[in-house]
Amino acid sequence: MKTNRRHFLAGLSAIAPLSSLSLKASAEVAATPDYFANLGVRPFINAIGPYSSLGGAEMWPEVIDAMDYAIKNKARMSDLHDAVGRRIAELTGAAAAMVTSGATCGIILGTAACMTMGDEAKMERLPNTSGMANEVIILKRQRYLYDRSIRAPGAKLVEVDSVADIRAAINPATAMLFYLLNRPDDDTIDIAEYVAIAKEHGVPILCDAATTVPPIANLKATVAAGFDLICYSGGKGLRGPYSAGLLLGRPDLIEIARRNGSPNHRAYGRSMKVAPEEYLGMMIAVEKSMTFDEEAEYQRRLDIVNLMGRDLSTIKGVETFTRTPGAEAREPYIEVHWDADLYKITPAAVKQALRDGDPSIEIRALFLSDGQVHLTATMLKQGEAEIVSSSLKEILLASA
Amino acid sequence: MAQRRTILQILGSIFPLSLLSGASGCDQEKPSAENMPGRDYYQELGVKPFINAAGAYSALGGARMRPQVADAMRYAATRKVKMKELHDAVGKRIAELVGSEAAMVTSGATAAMVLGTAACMTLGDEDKMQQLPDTNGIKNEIIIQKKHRYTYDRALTVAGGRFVEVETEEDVRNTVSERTAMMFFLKPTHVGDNIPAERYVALARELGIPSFCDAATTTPPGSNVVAGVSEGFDLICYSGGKGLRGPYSAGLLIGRADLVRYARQNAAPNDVSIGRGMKVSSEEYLGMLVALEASLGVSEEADFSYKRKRFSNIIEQIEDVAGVTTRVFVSESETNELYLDIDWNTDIIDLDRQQFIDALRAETPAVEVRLLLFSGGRIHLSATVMGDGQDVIAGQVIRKVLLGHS
Repeated sequence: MKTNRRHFLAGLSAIAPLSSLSLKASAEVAATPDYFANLGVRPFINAIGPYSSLGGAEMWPEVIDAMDYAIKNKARMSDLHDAVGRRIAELTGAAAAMVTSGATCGIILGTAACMTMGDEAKMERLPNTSGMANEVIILKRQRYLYDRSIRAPGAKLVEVDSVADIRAAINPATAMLFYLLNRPDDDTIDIAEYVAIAKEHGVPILCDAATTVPPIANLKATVAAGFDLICYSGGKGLRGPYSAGLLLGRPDLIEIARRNGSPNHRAYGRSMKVAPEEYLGMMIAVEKSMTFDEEAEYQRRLDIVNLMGRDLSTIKGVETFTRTPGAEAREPYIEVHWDADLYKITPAAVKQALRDGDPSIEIRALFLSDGQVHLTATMLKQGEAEIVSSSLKEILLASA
Repeated sequence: MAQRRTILQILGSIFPLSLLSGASGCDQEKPSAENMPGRDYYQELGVKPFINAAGAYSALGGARMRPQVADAMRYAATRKVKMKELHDAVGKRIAELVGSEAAMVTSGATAAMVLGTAACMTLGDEDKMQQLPDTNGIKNEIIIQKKHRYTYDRALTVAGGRFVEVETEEDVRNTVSERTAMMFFLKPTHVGDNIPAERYVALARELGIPSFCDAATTTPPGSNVVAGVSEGFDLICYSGGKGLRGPYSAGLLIGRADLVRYARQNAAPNDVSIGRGMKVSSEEYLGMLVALEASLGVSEEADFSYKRKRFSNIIEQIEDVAGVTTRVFVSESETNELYLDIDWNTDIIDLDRQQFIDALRAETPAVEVRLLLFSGGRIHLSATVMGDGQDVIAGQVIRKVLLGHS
């Protein structure tokens, strides 16, 4: 992230061929057209973060190279799935692993695995789950937007009020316990107890840990916690391919999840295809996330948000605060406040004005920040921080 | 159930070898950048390399992407744009190219079928979309001709659809009710049908039921997409990573503006949609457009001349092996796929066809040819996924195996 990847990679196409099988290269390198400009799709400065709707995280350059390799060199999908799964399991300490088309896909295939347990007739029947164990127990306070995916293959959600109520809710129709992992620092549920209940009753437990990395230490800790299945988003904190994710866990369940997934012709999950380049790219993203200097990257981001903060504070009546959400999070941001008597503009209007500006800038306001204006550095490229703070200053001054 | 790749190609016409004269292939077959030394990931992983002489099967990694598609994907991977803007712009451009009202990129033909079904069942009703795959109180019946039942119709049940099988127009009229969500049609037409496409479309229109056509495997040539769209189905889908040589996990859903809009509502990146798991990356979105554009610009003849060249290079390696006969032919399906048939006198070469396939697999590099199931029990090679230079290596491997049993 330190170099300006756009320029560094734009014309560079790294191919690592199998010596005997590579396609022949041509000396004439055709310039890649500026597709987005031709389509009228506007570039923008991302001071909000790696959201799916904004194209996710910046992939590691190594991931892009690996994807290019897999695009140009063919492997049998089952060989690739086996080998990459093994390697990711080694790297993460999980017993087994697979690459999915995203964290949502991980939840869907994991749920399908727990409901069918490899029974061919049951797999063929999904999402019709009449006559099979199809109940998924979830804590009321862990209900969230994405629990919709649990229902996709035909499961029914059974809400319980407390961990203690889980035991009473478990019955022969119970397919799975669901656990939503938040940042460890704001977690108030005893994971060990939750996992113990699952083990005691022989019911698999799936943990959605989609957004809990970085730091990568969280992933290792979660794997060690004993969940039967854990899913991660690939295109966010791990900086892998946008439409990829991880499902880690028990070898038998991973094997069944794979059978419910693509490329199996009649699988419920055949539509959630994962390309060879996504499979390999995801592995490289895990490798890279395991070894890079998180502290240095955190410091880099902190320096950038502080730079924006200092610049904004140079105008009268503006105050900024540097925040780090939770002790372990690696996404520092600044909160921007202004004197409402001096600058007669709302945060919503500021967000819109930045979006409408040239260049267009996306910031966090309202929905995810309790009405405050937040600026993050995660997705900013070199030189963009200055543009963000000066644009924001202009908008404030114009309202005075 | 009909197989998608039927055995009809053995009935195909034969191309005499004299027509294979020095065709030079297509310029765009060559990648646009120089090879660079780098990590050999497959070797690190112990994944065995192979030459794909079988065809663009998903299990074998799909088609060989065109170099400009790979370039476009790299371009998109290094530049962020808003997904909605990209989806709108690419959808609009694809619709222009193929002459439809609207279009979207999906995570494959199967995803297009799931999302198309979801669109027809829910017609944009938020509560109904939320409720899927529970279709209680939602129209969920899919009319399908008995002869169109096949492996991949499984996709129509993923969002909660149920089949109602028909054979005649009368059957359709009798079965249409408030529960009918969609009328499904399978191409290519050589799978057989009682009601031909033209009548089926007219009937659907008359009855006010959305019609959906799975035309996943009807390319190349790319112009078949334009032809397919012009037949008037309300929705039609194509695989992206096969005949169109686009990204592996991409496909196209094309058709009526309202239905494509509903399909998008049921899809990623919408958080609570049934199709949220079927994510499509920005590189796949753009790559699919570039693949379609390129496919529309390639004539069937240019495509064939590339493949004939690959076959003549293979034949050159084995034609002097005693007892071996080869012929290049075009399958008679809608896709006009070109194949190389290899046969031998088993009195001279002591090897049956399955043993031959197994022996090719055991070599390094391995060579995959079409499964006997798909080739009517004969040995067929496809050049669809074969790169420049791989033909000669494949020919050498085949020669070695044949001579080893002579």
